[in-house]
Amino acid sequence: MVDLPKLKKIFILSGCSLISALSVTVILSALIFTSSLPPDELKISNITENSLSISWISQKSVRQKVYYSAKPLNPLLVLLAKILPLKIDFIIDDFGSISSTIHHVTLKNLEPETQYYFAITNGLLIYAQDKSRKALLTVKTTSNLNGIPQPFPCYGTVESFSEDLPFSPIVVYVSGKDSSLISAYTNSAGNFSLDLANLRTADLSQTLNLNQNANLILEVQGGKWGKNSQPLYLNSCQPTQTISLK
Amino acid sequence: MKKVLTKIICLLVIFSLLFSSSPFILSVSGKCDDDDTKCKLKKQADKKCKDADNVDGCKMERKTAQDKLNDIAQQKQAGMAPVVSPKETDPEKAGDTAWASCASACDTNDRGCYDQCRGRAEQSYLEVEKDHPVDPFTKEQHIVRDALRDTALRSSIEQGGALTYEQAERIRQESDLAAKAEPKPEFREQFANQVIQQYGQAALSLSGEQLNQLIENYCQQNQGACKTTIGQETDLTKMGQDLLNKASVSLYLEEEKKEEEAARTAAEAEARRKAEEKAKQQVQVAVQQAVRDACQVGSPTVQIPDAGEYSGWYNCKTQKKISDKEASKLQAQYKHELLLAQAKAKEKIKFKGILSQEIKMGQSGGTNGTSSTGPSQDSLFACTASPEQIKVTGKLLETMAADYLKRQQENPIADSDGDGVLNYDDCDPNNASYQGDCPGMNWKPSPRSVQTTVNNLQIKGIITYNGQLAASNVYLEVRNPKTNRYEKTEVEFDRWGQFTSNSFSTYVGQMAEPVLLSATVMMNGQPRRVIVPLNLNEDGSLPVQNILLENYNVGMEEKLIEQIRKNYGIQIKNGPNEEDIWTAKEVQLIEDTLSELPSIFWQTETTTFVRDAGLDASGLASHLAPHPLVSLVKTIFRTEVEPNTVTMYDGIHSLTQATWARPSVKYTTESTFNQALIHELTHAIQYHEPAKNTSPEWDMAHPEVANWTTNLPPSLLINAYENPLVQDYMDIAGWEIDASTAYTFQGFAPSINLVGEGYLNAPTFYSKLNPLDDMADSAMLYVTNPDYLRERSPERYNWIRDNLFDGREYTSPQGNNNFFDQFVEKISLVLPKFRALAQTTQFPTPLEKLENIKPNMSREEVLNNLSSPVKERSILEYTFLSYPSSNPQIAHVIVLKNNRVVFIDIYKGKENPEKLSEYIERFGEPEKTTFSYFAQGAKVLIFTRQGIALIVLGDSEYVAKKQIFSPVSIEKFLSTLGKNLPLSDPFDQVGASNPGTPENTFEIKEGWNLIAFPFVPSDVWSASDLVTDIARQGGYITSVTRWNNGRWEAYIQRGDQPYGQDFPLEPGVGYMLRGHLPVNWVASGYQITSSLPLSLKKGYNLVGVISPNSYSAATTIDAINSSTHEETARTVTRFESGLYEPLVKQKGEVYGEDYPIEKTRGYFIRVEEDTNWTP
Repeated sequence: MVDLPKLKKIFILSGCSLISALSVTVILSALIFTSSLPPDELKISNITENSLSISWISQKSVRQKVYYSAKPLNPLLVLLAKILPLKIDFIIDDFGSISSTIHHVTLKNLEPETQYYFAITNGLLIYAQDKSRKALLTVKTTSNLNGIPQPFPCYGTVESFSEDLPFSPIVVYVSGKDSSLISAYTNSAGNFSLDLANLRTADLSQTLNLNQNANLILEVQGGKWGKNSQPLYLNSCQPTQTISLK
Repeated sequence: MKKVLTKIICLLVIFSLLFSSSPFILSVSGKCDDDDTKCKLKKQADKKCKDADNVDGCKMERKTAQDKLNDIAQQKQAGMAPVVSPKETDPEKAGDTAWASCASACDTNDRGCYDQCRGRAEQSYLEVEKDHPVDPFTKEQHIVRDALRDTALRSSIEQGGALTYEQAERIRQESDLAAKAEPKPEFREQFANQVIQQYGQAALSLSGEQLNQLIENYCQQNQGACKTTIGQETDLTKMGQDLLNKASVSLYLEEEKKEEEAARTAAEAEARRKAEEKAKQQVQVAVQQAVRDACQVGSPTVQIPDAGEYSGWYNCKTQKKISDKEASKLQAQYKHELLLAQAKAKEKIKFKGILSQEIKMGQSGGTNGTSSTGPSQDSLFACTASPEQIKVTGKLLETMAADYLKRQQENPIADSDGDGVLNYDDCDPNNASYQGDCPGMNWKPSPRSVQTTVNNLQIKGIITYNGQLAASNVYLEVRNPKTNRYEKTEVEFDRWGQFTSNSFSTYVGQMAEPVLLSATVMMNGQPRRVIVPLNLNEDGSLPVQNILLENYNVGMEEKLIEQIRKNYGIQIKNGPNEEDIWTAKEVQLIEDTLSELPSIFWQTETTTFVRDAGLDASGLASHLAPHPLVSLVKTIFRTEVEPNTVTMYDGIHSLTQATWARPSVKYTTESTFNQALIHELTHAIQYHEPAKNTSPEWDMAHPEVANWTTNLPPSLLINAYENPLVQDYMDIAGWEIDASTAYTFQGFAPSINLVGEGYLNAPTFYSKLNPLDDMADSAMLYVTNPDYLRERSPERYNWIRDNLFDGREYTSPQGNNNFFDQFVEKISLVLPKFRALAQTTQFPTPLEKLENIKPNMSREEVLNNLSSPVKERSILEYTFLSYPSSNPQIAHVIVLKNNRVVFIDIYKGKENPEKLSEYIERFGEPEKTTFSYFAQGAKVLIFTRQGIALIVLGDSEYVAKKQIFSPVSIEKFLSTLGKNLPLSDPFDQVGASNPGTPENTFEIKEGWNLIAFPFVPSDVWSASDLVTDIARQGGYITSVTRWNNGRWEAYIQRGDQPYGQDFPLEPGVGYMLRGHLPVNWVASGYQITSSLPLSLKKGYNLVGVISPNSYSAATTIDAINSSTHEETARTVTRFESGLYEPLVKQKGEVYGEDYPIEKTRGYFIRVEEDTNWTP
């Protein structure tokens, strides 16, 4: 004899539990989203009189954008910028519609010798400071260089095991002893190219004298897919030795 | 217990349902849409199954439902349009409904069916969207959504074949969710409003971290509000939205206003601070000067009053401020030393015994002051002179100045003589209402002067500059022998700078010491405190001007100007603006130059020199050309505007008021200044009518012209060619005037055709233009470089010596400063054959010869007619021959193709006027009128049937350029020769985006710019031209750099000072420009419609790619390699915002991001071996 009412109660109880668990999951997801961590490994590179690049990694694969201005940015106004007619310049990832944990933004056509302020946002939260909460996101473009160097392209391949589709971009940095930082990112085939002539002295006042004592380091950053670095030799950078993410 | 547990779980479920935003939960409890047939049938079947007592009945119901669905699907597949409810207003919903009703009927493996349904769904979507264009997604979200959807669909299909409707729907919803995974606008507003209400103005000071924390708290309190889901309308009310917006905006505006106000306040404070600092510095300088001057009296200390923190006592030895105590000590010491000295000379000095007698203003005047007290301890100070020496004559003057002021305020004096200055010259005694209105009519103050008279111990004087008050804070200062301090009396001024001391007092015993007149006067544009000792024991009237001149150099230029006027009859006038002031050095240069010249140069009587910082040359095209030899000084002898006036400019304001007018652009050497002056003074002679205005001596020396007269206005010839002196010069120089055109006027200039060979031996490039400039430059050379003139043209040398210089000869300067050679050297960089051509080519090219050139003529025929061109360039199949016109900056150009003339471009200019109306009379209205790159406001009138295009400047009735080609249809013309003509005035678009002419507009930024010309530049032929033309359009670059044989070659120009070698500009070559002022530079040139072959050398090449084909960096590499069948090229590098961006392609692998090749940009292309490539 089957106790139908009891079975019915057990069935209802199980159903309620399942639904409850699902609901809690949904709520927690929303909370996790709003608790995204501030940008990490924030780097400013490619600083010239008219341009600069900002790169960072985020906790989640999201699309982020950078608001920037020659005046200090107010976080509240950045928040309101999407719904109110406030003119604050912004730029989205160089990676277009690809959501990633690594981000690279290049600002061009800037004014020389001008202080710029940034705020990074994922659409909800605004970060005007880096993860350490110390560094304010500001950078000053350089003055005009007196001369221009000859191009010196270096290129290579980054191996990754990303399962992201259609591809997972990887940011490539090069810096030397007492030099500035330059960066680029891989294309859909995982290949990159950058020009060492863009390197400047640490104070950005002049181009870097490229010689064997430059002690150049190639660093690759793939966000959640890892990172790696290796020395970069001038006489064997066309192409460089293939580097893998770790 | 179980009941309690059950209840708790159920409550949790209810709670979860309330706050969950999971869409599937909603779908459980949702109703079927009206159009959702599948849903309805399914529910109907489910209901029957629930009620059915047997399983078979249930199965039957479900089969019936499925059959119905199949029928519907078959009907739809047969071509029936999806049903769209006319009430439907949501395109997305309409599309979804259509998709659902169609896709549910598809077989799960039938991908074609799904595709068809997708098409129908899209059709439904578009139908509704047409009337209800509501898009819940931003463009950005659409991109994300589509990308995610495609990726997921593709992934699912690849993994598991076709999708079920549910799978596809889930993917769609998930992608929608992901695309809109951000907070709702309502939430933002609500949150923002809450923050604003909570914090008020302080909200704007919240840091990002604080704000993020508030957001997180808010999200926790309002679960679900922070996440938007598709299909779920917000439950937040719209009420108050406007209020929130308003509050937010007003807060922002308030903040903005506050910022502006703060910026303004800061700017004002900064300006105030600077002004105070400047004033303080001025006070400090004035005090230092006052201390220096006052100390000259001999006192050990001096007291400076009313100078703020600088007031007080100063030590005359150290010139430093000291305390009162230290001052007293020094004074005591000084007295002691003085007493000792005087004790030694006691025998020689007769003590007068009248001490400390004070003469005050208002005492009965006439003779000496009145003694009032007995001797004092300070009496010895009066021993150096006797009060009898004071001459106090006349009666006490009334305070006329106050009266003047009052009356002149009541009856202000107008600028009756119209010279722009209110001064005594404006007084009209006939209309004066009071005799004091025009005092001293016989006395005219020099432009800047200080004059004083002392009457009855009242000092009256005037300090003026061009009739305006030129001094302030004027005091009379007298040392009080009792206190040894200077007591001062402020002197008031009237509007003319006249002052009268009202309460001047001094000490009888002090009369031997000068009374000091201290004043702040303007010197070289800076206020300066001067102290002038007035020796009252003179005749009572002492011109202080000399003292100022001797001590402070004040008024030196005025003195010289006056001297020049007296000696040479030449007026030196400042220009209309503040900066248009002759400096003392310039006046001295004029004086020096004039003193070296014979009288004919300065006896033209009415010549005036005017200083002007910059010439507004708008509309004065013929005057725009700077003198090539003395191009750093722009001078003009203009008869049509200001008769017989030489105007000396620092530079020319171009049409866009560009950098020519920068203060740094000035003449750099004294010699160029003098050269310009002699050149222009020679023009003054040419336009001067000799019979009326030369000196009797000159007339006697030149009987052939002395009695020559004209009907033209006195003292001024409109046509200098009528001057016998000029005609005489033309004879010896070889210039001739075509008799049929001589002495006729076309409104603004004599219309003459010059023939003869005068230009052949003309000594300078500029002098080849016409006989007038030939004579002016030859006269200039005669003085500044006579050896060169004698060698180049002995006839000219002799004529100038005999006719202009009365036999006086000069010596050439030492050293190699032959500016003509320097000039030729400079332009030879651009025109290597110039020197040789200068001997054979006619300057300018005779127009009648040019008119003989017709389309289809051969090259030989052109050369036979016109001789060799000054410049020849070949671009593709075209050859450009340039011939000089009357304007050194604009050439006549003949374009050949296959050695046959296809296009003739003739510059007409004001020198060879042709009326537009004559053409219209002959040809009728033009077939088309459009704009031109020739100049701002220029229009092109095209008569294709006649094969003529005319360029006219603005509304001018004269033709500026005439272009001749083979007659064609208008359509063909506009698609070939006229293809590049702008449809709007390109100069109007300077500074803005110029979408109409992208290939002719270069955005020059501050910093380095890499450009290339996709056409043959017509106005800028060299790097120096480029610098100039960009400046003309309002930009400023200092460096043009090209890449040549593996290294940079730079031409640098700062102001007018060039560094490095000039080089020609060519299409297909990249140039790096260093910009300092951004500008959208519009260039003109000849269109290149085919590919321009590139000769690539091993290594890096800086090129521009000109081709009708489109290339990217990668396809450029492919194209080069495909032409060589090897991997010759690997790298193309562009330059963007200060960064090189290389694209490498090696063994099929592409490194870096590809980018399109733009025609106005330069690119580095690296090849491994020499390669010719036609893009």
